[in-house]
Amino acid sequence: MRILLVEDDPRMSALLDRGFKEEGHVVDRTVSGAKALETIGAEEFDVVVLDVMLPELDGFGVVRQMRDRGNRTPVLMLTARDANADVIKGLNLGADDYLTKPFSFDVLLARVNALARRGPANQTVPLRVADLTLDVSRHSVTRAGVVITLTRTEFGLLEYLMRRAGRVVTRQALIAGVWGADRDVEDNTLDAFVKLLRQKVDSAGRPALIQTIRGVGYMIRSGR
Amino acid sequence: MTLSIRAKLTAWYVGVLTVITLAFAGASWWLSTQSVMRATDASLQARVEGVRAFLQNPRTRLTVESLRDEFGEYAELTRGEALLEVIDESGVVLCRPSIPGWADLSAVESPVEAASEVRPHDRLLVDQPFRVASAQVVAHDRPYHVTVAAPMRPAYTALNRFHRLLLALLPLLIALAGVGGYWVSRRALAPVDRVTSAVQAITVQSLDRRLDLPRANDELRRLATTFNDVLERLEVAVADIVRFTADASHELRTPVSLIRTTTDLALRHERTPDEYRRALCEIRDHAEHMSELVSDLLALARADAGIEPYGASPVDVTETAAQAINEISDAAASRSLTISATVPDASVFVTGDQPSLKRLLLILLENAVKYSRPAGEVRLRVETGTGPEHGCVVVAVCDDGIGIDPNERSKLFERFFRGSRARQHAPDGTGLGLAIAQAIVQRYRGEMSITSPDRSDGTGCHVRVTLPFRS
Repeated sequence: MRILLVEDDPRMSALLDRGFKEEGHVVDRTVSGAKALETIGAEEFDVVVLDVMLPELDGFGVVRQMRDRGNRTPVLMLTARDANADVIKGLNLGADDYLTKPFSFDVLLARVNALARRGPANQTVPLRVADLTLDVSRHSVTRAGVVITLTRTEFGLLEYLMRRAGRVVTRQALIAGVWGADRDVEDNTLDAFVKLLRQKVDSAGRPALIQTIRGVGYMIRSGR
Repeated sequence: MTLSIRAKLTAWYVGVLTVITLAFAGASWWLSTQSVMRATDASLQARVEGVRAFLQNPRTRLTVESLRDEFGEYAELTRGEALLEVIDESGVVLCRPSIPGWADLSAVESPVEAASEVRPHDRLLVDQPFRVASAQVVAHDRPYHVTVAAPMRPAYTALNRFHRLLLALLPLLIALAGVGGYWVSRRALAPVDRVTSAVQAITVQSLDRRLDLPRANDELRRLATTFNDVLERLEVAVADIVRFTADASHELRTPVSLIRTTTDLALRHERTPDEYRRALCEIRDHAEHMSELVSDLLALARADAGIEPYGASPVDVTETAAQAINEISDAAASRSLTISATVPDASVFVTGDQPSLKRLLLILLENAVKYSRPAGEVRLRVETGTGPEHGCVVVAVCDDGIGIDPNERSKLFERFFRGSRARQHAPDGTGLGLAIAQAIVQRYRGEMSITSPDRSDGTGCHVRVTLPFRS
C-alpha cells in the first residue's frame, strides 16, 4: 500500500520510512503540514501517518483542511502528548486513529493495515448533504452558512438521516434510532417531529432535502 | 494562646465594659450617699439657723415659760417630727423631743461648747440611725445649746434599695456586654471567615479563582486584594511550571521513542552484525542526547529554584575565555573550523563563579561551532565596554553559519525553542542552551543580544553579552 508519512524530525521519519519499506509498502515523506496538504491533493494514498507537532501548520490543521476539502483518506495521528484533549481534538477533526509516542512499531503497522483495510471513510466530518452541515462534536447545524437551532430530538433525527444520506430510512428504524427500540412512539409523533424539522431545515427558499417515501419512511439527499 | 480573635475581642470588650460599669456603679453609690447626706445636713443647718433667728429676734421674750410655750407650739405644728432640743445656760431644758433614747444623746451632747459652728454627725438612738447637729446660739448675751436631729432610717432604706439594685444590675450588664461583644466581633470578623473559607477552597487546580472584593474600601478589601495578588503570582508561576514540565516530558519522549522504534525495527528481522552495530550506535547517540537534555533540565530547574550556589568571587573573563576556547577546539577542528580570539592583555574581572561563566561561554561557542558551515570561522572577542556599555566587559561570539530566521529571533530564549534552520541543520539539540545562557547572564546582571548585522537573510550570527565589571 501507499503511505504518506508526515514527520518533521528527520531521524524519526527515516526510521519509519525504513520500517514501512521493509514490510513492502510504498512511502512518501514530507516534513511540513503545508507540503503534506499539497501532496495529499495531488496523489492518492491508502493511509496518512501524521505527526501532530509540525512547524507552522500542525497535524490538527492538516486533518481539518483535508476533511474540509472532502479528502477521506484514513489518517493516523502520532501525538507526543497523551493528553486526552489532544486525542479528542484529533478524532473530532476527522482523524481515524491515533498513537502516542513512544509506540511499538508492530502496533503502528497493525493499525495502519487496519485503516487501509477499512478504506476511505464514507462520511465526512462534519456530515454534509448539499449545503446542509451537521457537526456532531459541536452539536451544530448550518444551512448555507446560516446556523439552525434544533432541539435534541430534531438533532437526533437529522443526524440519523444524514448518516444514511441517499438511503431510505423506515419509520421503525428512525424511531428505534432516535428514541430507542423500547420506547413506544407513535408514527404520528414521528411525522410531527419530521414536519417541525423540515420547517427549520428546508425553509427560506432552499431546495427541500428531506423527502417522504410514501408508506415506508424518509430519506435525505441533495435535490438532484 | 490558642483563643480565636473573636474570643479575644469578646473578652476585651467584656473586660473594658466591666471596668467602666464598676466605676460607674461605684460613683453612683458614693454620689447618691453624698447627696442624701448633704441635703440632710443642709436642712439641719437651716433648722439651727431658724432657731438662732428666733432666739435673736428682739421681740422674743426669753423667759423659760415663754420659750417652752413657743417651742412646744413649734413641736406640735411639726407633729413631733422636727427633732429639736434647746437648753439654756443653766441647764434648763426648754424643749426636748419625746423619743426613746434622746436623753442618752443629751448626755453626750449637752455640755455646752463654745463652738457656734454646726457639725452634723451620725448617732444611733436605740439602734435607730440619726443625723445630729449641735450648736451654741448666743441671744441677748445668753448662750443656748441647740441640738437638731433627723431620722435617717427612710433615707438609708432608699439608698440601700438603690445600692441593691446596682449590685443586681452589674452581672446582668456584664452578661449583656459579653453577648453584645460576641455579636459585634462576629459581625466584624464574618468577612474574614468568608475570605478564609474562600481561600481554603482554592487548590493548585483552581488557582484561576479570585476572591470577591468587599464593596467598602477597608482593611478587608485590602486583605482580599492582597490574596488576589498572591493568587495571580502563584497562577503564573504554576502555569510556567506546568508548561515547563509538559515541554520537558515532550522533549524526553523524542529520544525515547527514537530508541524504541530503532530497537523495534532491529528486532523485527534477522540482521547482519553491521546492521545491529549501526542500530546500537544510533541508540547510544539518542541516549547521549537524553543525558544532555536531562543535565540541561537540571541546570534550568536549579536556576529557577535559585539553589545553584551563586559565587561572589572575582572571575577573570580573559582566562575563562582561553579555557573555553581550549575545550571547544577539538570539536571545531573536526569540522575544519578556525577559531580566532581577540582578548585584552590584562585580566578583566567580573563578580560570579568560574564554572557558570565558562558554561555561558561554552554554550555560545558550541552553538557557533554547531551551526557553522564547514571550513568557516568563529570569532571570540573580549573587550572593555565604551559609551552606554561603560563599566561592562563585552563578550562577542560571531560566526558565518546558518544564522537565524529573522521571524524567529524573538523566541530564541524560550525554553525548548529551536529555530527551523537549526532543526534542519542539527536535529539533536535540546533547545535549552540559550535559555541556560540567558539565566546565567541574568545572574551576572548582564545583558545578551543576538543579531545578524550584515545580512538581510539572517545568515551569520552575532551574540553580544555585556557583564558588569567587578567593582
